[in-house]
Amino acid sequence: MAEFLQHLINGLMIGGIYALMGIGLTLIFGIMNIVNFSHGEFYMLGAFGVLTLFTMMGIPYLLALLLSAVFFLLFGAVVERGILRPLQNQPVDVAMLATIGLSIFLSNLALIIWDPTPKDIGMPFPLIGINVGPITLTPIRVFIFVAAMLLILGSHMFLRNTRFGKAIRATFQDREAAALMGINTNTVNMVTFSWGTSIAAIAGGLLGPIFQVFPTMGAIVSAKSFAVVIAGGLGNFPGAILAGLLLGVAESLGAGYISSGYRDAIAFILIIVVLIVRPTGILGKARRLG
Amino acid sequence: MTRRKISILFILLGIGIAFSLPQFVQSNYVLRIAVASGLFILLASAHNILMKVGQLSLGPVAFYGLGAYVSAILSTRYGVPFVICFLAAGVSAAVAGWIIGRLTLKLRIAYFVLVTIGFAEFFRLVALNWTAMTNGPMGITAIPAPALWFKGYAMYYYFILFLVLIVLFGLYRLENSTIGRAMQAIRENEVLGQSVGIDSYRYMMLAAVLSSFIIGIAGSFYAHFFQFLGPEILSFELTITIVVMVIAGGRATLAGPVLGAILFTIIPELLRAATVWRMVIYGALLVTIMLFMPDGIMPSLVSVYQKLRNRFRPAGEPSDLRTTLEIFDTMPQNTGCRQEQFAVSTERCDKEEICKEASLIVEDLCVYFGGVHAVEHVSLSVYPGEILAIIGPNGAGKTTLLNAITRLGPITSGMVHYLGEELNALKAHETAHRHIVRTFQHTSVFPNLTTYRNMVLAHNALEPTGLVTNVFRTSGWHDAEQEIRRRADEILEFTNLKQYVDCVASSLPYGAQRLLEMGIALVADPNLLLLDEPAAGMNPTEVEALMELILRIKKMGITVVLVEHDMKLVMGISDRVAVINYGELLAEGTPEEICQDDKVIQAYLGRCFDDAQTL
Amino acid sequence: MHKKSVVLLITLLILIALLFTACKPAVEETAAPQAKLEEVAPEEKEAEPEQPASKEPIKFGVIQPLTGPVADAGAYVVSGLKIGVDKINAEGGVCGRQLEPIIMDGKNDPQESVNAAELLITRDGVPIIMGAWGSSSTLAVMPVMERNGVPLIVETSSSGKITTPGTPGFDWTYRFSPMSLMESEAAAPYIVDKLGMTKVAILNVNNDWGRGAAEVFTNVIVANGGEIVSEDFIEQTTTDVLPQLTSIKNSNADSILITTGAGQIATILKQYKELGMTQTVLTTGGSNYPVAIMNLSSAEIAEGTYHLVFYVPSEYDLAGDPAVAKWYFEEYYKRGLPDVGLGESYRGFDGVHVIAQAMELAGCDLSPEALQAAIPLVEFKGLSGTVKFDEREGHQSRPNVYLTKIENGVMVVPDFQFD
Repeated sequence: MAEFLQHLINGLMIGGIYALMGIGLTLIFGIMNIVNFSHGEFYMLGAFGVLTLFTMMGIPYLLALLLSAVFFLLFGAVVERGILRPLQNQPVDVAMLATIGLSIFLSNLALIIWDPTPKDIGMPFPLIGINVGPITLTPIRVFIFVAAMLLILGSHMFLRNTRFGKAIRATFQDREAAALMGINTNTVNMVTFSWGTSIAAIAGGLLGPIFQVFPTMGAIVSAKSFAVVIAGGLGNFPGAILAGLLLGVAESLGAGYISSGYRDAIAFILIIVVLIVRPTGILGKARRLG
Repeated sequence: MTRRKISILFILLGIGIAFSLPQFVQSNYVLRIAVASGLFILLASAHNILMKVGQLSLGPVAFYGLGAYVSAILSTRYGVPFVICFLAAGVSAAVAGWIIGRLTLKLRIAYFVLVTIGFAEFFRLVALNWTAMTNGPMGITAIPAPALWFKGYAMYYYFILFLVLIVLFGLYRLENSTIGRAMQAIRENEVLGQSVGIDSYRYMMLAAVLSSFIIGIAGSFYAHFFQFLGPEILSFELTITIVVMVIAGGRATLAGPVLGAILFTIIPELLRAATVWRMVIYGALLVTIMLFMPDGIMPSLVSVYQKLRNRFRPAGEPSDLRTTLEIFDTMPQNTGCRQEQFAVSTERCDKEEICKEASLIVEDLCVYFGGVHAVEHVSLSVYPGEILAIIGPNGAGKTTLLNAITRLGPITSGMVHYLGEELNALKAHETAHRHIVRTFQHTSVFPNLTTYRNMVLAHNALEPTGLVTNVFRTSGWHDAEQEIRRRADEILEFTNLKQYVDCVASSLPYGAQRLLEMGIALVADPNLLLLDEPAAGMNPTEVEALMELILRIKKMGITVVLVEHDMKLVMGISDRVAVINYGELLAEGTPEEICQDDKVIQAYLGRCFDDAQTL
Repeated sequence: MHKKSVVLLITLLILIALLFTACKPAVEETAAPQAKLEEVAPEEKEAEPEQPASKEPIKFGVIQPLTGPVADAGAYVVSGLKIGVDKINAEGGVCGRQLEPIIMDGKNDPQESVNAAELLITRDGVPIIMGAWGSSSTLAVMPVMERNGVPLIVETSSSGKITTPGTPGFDWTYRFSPMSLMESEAAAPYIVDKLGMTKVAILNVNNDWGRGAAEVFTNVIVANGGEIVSEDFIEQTTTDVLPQLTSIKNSNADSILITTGAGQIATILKQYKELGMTQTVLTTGGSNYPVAIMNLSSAEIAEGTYHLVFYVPSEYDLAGDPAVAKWYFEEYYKRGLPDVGLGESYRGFDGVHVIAQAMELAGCDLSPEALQAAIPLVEFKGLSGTVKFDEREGHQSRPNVYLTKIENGVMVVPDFQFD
C-alpha cells in the first residue's frame, strides 16, 4: 500500500509537468492548427537558460526562472512572426516540417553553445526527503508541482477573465468569425505561441535541478506532451490537465509494477487508444477552451 | 520528334546513366551513397503514396522495421532463402499496413499524424524489448547477403536500381490511372470525391497497403545490405528524414520524392565538411526550404521553368497539357482566367412528361444532432423526370435533408428508398454508384486543378479500377481513357465551359465555378441530381443561364431536386415545390399552389410571392 | 514539356558532379578484399619507404558520435584522442611524420557510421579507423571494413559479438575496451562477500551495454551465492526513475547495480537520495568516474557509492604506465576539459597510441594489411593498463578493472580488491 501511494505521488508530481507542457501545446495546436515539434526544444532551452543564469551567473533561482520565462516569451514571438506566420495558409505539414527543422536547428545549436556534456543545475532547495506517513516527499518536487499547478491556474484565469483571453477563446471557436468581429487573429497567434513557448521553457527550468541538462533532453518530453494533448482532447484545458496527471500516474505504476522497458510505450498506447476509441479525448465534447 | 518522345528519350538517358554508374565510378563511397539514395527513393516514393490521398504519416519506419526484422529473423534463425524473406517482408508489412489502416484511416490531418507516431514508437519499443525474438538492443548480426555473388556494392546497386525502376514505373502508371485520379480527387476535395462516387476509404486503404508493402521490401533490402539490424531502424529521426524528402522534394508528385531522396541523402554527406555545424545548417536549411518553397523543391523548379518558358514561347502557341508525359506536371498551368467574360447560351427548352411512380421516397425521416432536431418526420417523394424544389428559411433543414439522402450526413430514424432500394445502409460514394449525385451549397470543386482535370476526376468512379488493369494498361484501360475524353468534352460543351478548359478551377469567375460544379455532377452520370443552392451569389444574368441549364438537364431525362432561395428560379422552372420549416414539411404542391398557401406565405415567402408572380 | 525534364536532368547531373568533387575516388572496388589490397599496396609502398622524410601527415580515421543523444561520450573520446595525437606529434610523430586524425560524426547511427567509414576509406584513403562508439554502429561498420580490407580499432563498444569469430568483419576488428564480462570477472571475488551485495536490484540502460552487463553480473552474483531481486532497463533518455527506485526501495533488495552513462547515473543517485534510500550502490561501465558523478550530483548525494572503472585518473600507480598517467591527468586539466569526460577520455588516448605503435611495428608500411599484421604485436602500456590484443579472446585486450568508492567526498580505492 505504501509503495502504491508512493507511485501515485511520484506519478502526480511528474504528471503536473506533463500537464504544464500539454496546455501550451494544446493551445498552439487548437488555435494555430500547428503540430509543434519544437515544443520539447523550448523546454530544453528553458533548462539551459536557468543553467546559465542560476548556475553560471549566480542569479537567484526564482529570478533566473522569471528572466528566462520573459526571454522565451520574446523568443516565441520571434519564431511565430518569422517562421509560422508566413506559413499559416499552407497545409498543416509545411508548418510541421518547419518546426521539425527548427527543433533540429535549436538542439544542435545548443550542442555547440553549451557542449554536449550533461550539466547539473544544482539544487535551489536542500534535497532531503520528508516522510509524510508512509510516503517520501522532497521540497523541490512539491515546489515543482505547486508551480506547475499555479501556472496552469494562471493561464486558465487569463483565458477566462481577461479581454485578450476572450479573444483567444473566440479565435479558437471560429477563426473567421473572430476576425470579422475585429479580433486581430495574428496577434492572437503570436501571443498564444509565445505564451506556449514560455510555459515550456519554465517547465524545463523547473525540472532542470532534479535531472541533468543536455541538448537532446527535449525529444522525449515532446512526445509525452503530444500524448497529453491528444488524450485530453484538442484545446481542452481541463482535459490536458487530467490527461497529464493520468499519464504521469500510469507511467509510474506501469514502470513500477509491469516493465521499465515499455514505460515510454504507455504514452503512445494512450495516443493510439484514445484516437481510435474516442477521438474527442477522455473528457469528450471537444471545442471548448479555458 | 514530338515532345513526348523527347521526354522519353531523356528518361531513358537518365536510366542509362544510372545503369552505367558502377562502370565509371569505382568509389565504394559513391556507390554506397547511391545505394542509400535508391533505398530512400523507395521509402520516400512509398511514403508519398499516402500523401497522394492527403494523409501524412509519421510512422513509415514501423513498416520499414517490420520488413527488416521479418526478413532478418527468417534468414538468420530459420535459414529461409532470400527471395522468400524478401516477399515475406513485403507481405507482413502490407498486412500490418492493412490492420493499422483499418484502425486509423478514419482519422485526418494532425490526428492521423500523431497516431502514426504512436504506432511507430510502439513498434520500436517492441523491437527493443522483445529480446527473445528481435535480440533487442544487441541487434541481429551476420544477416546473409541476398546471394553468394553479392560481393561488392555493384550488385546491391543494380538490385536497388531495378527495384526503384519497377516501383517508379508502377507509380507512374498508377498516377495516370483511375486509381491515381481517385487519389487526387480525395486529396483535393474528399467530400466532393465521395459525392461523385469515389470510395475514399478504399483508396486510402489501397494507398496504405501499397505503401507499406514497398516500405517492407525496402526494409528487407536494408537488412541484407547492412547485414546488421538493430532497433535504430525504427528511430523517429529516420521518419523525419523520409518526410523531409517527400515534403521538401514535392509532396504528391512523382518526381518530387525522387529528387528529395537524392538531395537529402547527398546534402548531409556534403555537410560533413561543416563538422559540428552540420546539423545546425541542416535544420536551418529545412526551415528555409519550407518558408520559400512550401510546395517543395520540384514544384518550385517547375514553376520557375514555366515562367522562363512563357517568356520565350511565342504567344498563342497552345499548351499540350493533355498529351505529354505527366511526370513533371506538378503545377497547374493557367491561373489567370478571371478577366474573361462569362458567356451564356440563350437556348430554351420545354417541359417533358413526368412519370407517375416515385423514384425517390423519403419516409418519416428524422435527423437529430444531440438536442437539435434538424429534420423532423419528413416524408417526401420525387418522381422521375420532374424538377422538385425544396424551399424554406435558413436553418430549416434543407441541406441536412440532402445530406441524409446522399448519405453524407447521418439519419436518426426513418427511411430513404430509391427505385425500391433502401439507401439508409449505404455510404456516400455508393449512392453515387446508384446515379444519385449532388452539388454543394458552398462552391465545391477540385480547386487546384484545371477545369478539364476536374471533369476527368469526376468521371473516375465509372471506370475500371483494378490495380492490374491500370498498371499494365490492358485494353479495358484504353477504352476507358477514350471514354473519359469523350465524356469530358461533351459536358464541357453542355455547360459552356469549353473556354476554361485549361484554367485552374479556383481561378474561374464565380458563376463559372458554380457551372463547373454542375459539370462535375453531370460527368458522374446522374439519374437523380440534387442541387444545393446553385444560384447562391449569382447575378441575374448568371441565374438566367442557370435556369436554362437546369431545364436542359431535365430534358436529358435527369430528375432534379433543387434546394434554393432564389424564388425567380424556383417558381420559374420547378414542377413541384416542397416547403420545409423547423425541420418539418410545411407544404407540398405545384408552384402555384405553394404561392397561395397561407402557411408558406406566413412562414417564409412573404412578399416574395409577388416577385414570383411578376416572372 | 521536355524542357522540364532537361531542367531536372541538369539538376541531377549537377548533384552527381557535386558528389564527385566532394570525394575523389581513391580505391578501386573489386570483389575480393585481398585482390584489392594488392592493387593498393604497391602505390602506398612506393610512396612511403622511399621518402621517409616526407612531411605529409599520416591520416587515420575516427568515427564518433558528435551530435545526437550520446554526443557527450563522443566528445570525451575525441578530447583524449587529441591529447594523444598532440603528445605523439610533439615527440616527433610516427615514422617521422605527424599524425592527423580525420574525425567523422557517426551520430551513433549504423547508417551514418557506415557512410562515414566508406568516406574515410574512399576519399581520405585512411589505412585504419578507430570507432564507432556504440555496438550497433560498430557491428554495422565491421562488414564494411572487411569489404575494404581496413582494420578497425574498437574503443567503446561492449557487445560480445564484436569479438566473436564468425561475425562479418571479425578478422579486421580489434578491441581494447573491455567487455562487461571482464568487469564482472574482476568484481567476482568481492562483490558478494565484501560489498555485501546479496540481494541485488539491477537498473541498467536498455542497450546492448546495459543488457550485457546485467547478464554477466547476474551470473557472477548468483555463482557467489547472491540473488537478483529485480531487473529494470531504462531508456538512455529516461530522466525520471522514481518508479523503478520506489519499487526497489519497497523490495527486499540490499543493493543496486547500475550500468549507464555518468549523466544518467547522477540523475538516478539524486532520486535515490530523494527517496532516502540506503541500499548499496555499485555502478559499472567505465564512464562512471567518481569525481564526475560527484560533480553532476553532489558529494553528499554520491557519498558511499561504489564504482567499477578501468582507469582511475588520479591514482597513477594503477595505470599501465604511471608516468604517462600523471602527465595525462595534468594535461587534461590544463586544457580546461570537464571532469565528467576524464573517465572516458582514456579511450581516445590509448586508441591513438595503439594505432601509432601498430604503424611503427609495421615498419612504417602504412598499408592496411601491414597494419592488420602488426596490430596483434602491439603492447602498449596506457592509461587503462596494458593494451594487448589476445587472439584467443577474439582480438580482445584485457584492461585493468578497479573498484572505487566515494568516501567523505573523495574518491578512494578500497584495498580489499587487491587481496
